[in-house]
Amino acid sequence: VTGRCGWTVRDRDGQQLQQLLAAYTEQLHSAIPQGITNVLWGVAKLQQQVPPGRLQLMVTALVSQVDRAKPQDISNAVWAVGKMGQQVPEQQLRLLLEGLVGRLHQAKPHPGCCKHLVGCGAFEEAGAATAAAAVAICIHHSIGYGKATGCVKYTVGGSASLARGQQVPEQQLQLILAALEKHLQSVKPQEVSNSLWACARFRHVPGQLLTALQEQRHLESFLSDATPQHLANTAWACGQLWYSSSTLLDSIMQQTARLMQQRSSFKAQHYCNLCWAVAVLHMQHLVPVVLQLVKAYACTWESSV
Amino acid sequence: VTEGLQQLHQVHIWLQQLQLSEQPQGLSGVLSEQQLSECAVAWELQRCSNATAAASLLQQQVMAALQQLPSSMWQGEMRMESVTPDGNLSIDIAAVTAAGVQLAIELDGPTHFVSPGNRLNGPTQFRNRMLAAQGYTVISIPYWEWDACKTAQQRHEHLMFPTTR
Repeated sequence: VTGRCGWTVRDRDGQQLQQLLAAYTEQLHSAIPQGITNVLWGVAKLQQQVPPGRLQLMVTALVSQVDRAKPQDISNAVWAVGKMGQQVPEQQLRLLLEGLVGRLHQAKPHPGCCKHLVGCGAFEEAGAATAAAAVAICIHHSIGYGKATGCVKYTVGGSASLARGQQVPEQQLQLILAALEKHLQSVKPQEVSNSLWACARFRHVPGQLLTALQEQRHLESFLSDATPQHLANTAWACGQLWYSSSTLLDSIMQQTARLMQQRSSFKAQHYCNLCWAVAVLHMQHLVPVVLQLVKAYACTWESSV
Repeated sequence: VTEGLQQLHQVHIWLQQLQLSEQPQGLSGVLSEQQLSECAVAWELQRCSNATAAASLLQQQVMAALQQLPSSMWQGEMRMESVTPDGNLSIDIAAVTAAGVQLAIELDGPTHFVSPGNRLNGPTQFRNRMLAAQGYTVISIPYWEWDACKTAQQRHEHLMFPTTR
């Protein structure tokens, strides 16, 4: 309650809070997941700390009941640990995140969850399974809840870190992609292109998603709001994944040509990714557009020498 | 920027390989000589970097196994990290069979494949197409196939079939 009301904690209150925490950890054997999470959440919200030893006991109690915990409880607990700047042991973090991944379809995003997954070391310092679960959660939050824009950023960051040599479990990725495909009509081009980009980093061909994207209504919706970056990322992903669809690449290149006529803001990377994708996919009929793109790029060329 | 230049060099060699009547010289004429040179340098740096990193245990194992095959199968010596005549691509192991077939033997690790289906990814398909366009017969040895060969005899048999051409 104090956390939700935005109260601040004076020194004397802080001592009392620690006494309460001490009493609470004595009673952990009878605590329920929501209770543990509420305590962690409240303390973090008050910008206070649970001493590491007590935090460890509380997380252990939560992990032991992870099957009973609501996805929101797990998400909030992860957020709280990250907010306090603390770490939980790798194995426990993995169990918590996998518990959340298994029920992602029931989960609402915590606005800071993705950020704090990064904060609590779920990507950079954790093992493959934990990092994979963290990415899955971030992707879900990114694609399911467009307003949680920060999630996209952390998904991409997490994906990049994973792509340095780890793989996301196929099952988790399928779950996320199915959710994206289901909401394809309402998701933003950025979420589609980011997800395809992440899939390419994971070396996973999201066949059903790509097939769905080529349906006329989805393709029109994607293209109408897509920026040069979205088009370039999507083309790059197709090239990396050897997804040789004339329908998709033709549409992307046509829209690219339109945006060039409208003097949209293209960066060097966009020109290069688009042209490269056509070359890798051996789409000879798109050579004229490639030449047009390279000519435009040549005019803006900044020598690297 | 460097990655973009490397990509443009790939576009350049792809267009050259297509030999289109309207654009026979790749991106020459679209990019200046200076710009093309920058792309080529960026690509060359990456090629050299990959070639150094690619001298893997797997590569050495395959080379050793190839050298166990009868010498009558080959013309000349096999070479690791051989560079194609146009200077654009490195070949893990290059060899010429007794029948005069130029082989490009590529040891493809996990990063060369996409799932599901363990298909070669786009950059690797591009590499293979460019090698084929230069007259090479490409033999891709996926890492899992090689890993499955536990004995010298199995490795010998695994290499015997594709290299007997």
